[in-house]
Amino acid sequence: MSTKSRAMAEKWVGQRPVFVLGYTAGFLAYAINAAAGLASGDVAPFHLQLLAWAAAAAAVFTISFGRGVTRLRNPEAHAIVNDELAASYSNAGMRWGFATLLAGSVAMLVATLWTGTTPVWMLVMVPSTGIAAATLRFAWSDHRSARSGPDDD
Amino acid sequence: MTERLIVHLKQARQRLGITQADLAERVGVSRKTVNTVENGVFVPSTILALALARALDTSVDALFALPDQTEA
Repeated sequence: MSTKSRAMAEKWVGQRPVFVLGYTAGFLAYAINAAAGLASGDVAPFHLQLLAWAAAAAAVFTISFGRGVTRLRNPEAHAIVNDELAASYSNAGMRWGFATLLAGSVAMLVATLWTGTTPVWMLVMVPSTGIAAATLRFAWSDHRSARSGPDDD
Repeated sequence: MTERLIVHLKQARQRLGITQADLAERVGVSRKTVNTVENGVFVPSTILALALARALDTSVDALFALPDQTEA
């Protein structure tokens, strides 16, 4: 692998926590806006709104737990970005995401039983919160590991 | 994590006079991964431990030990 590819991979690994945190914040803002729109009915047709949200959610999920948004084409550089440490943090993020999703689903069920209909904003906010919990856990672990100790001698 | 595993990676690396980045390149992981293993934050898999040992021309036993093995 070339020195340039390796340097790019290392640079992305270093910047990743901030990047993940930034787009998660953006995604959450979008989800809250979409949920508020759905709740008030002042939005585009429901299926379009849901489709736009699904596309944004898929993008966030793919970027966090897939190959990222780097221009790295070298498979070895990808292996560095998605190495054992990153996989470990991804797994931890997934656990948090599914736990949050489960809690949100229970809350949605209770709300449905209470009101008789499922609050439409919850259809967006519950999975959004699950995805955000997963990516935030990933970003936090990634950030903390960068401050684990001295780099070199 | 440090209570569960004693790591001698830094000493072994310094003996060869290489940096974390050099070691990371030899093993095929990021420098951050080497750093977290070295500082006891991340416990590597068997495969990574073997790769680290091979890259440093030593054994896994020499790099990692359980707390009750330190006297041995």
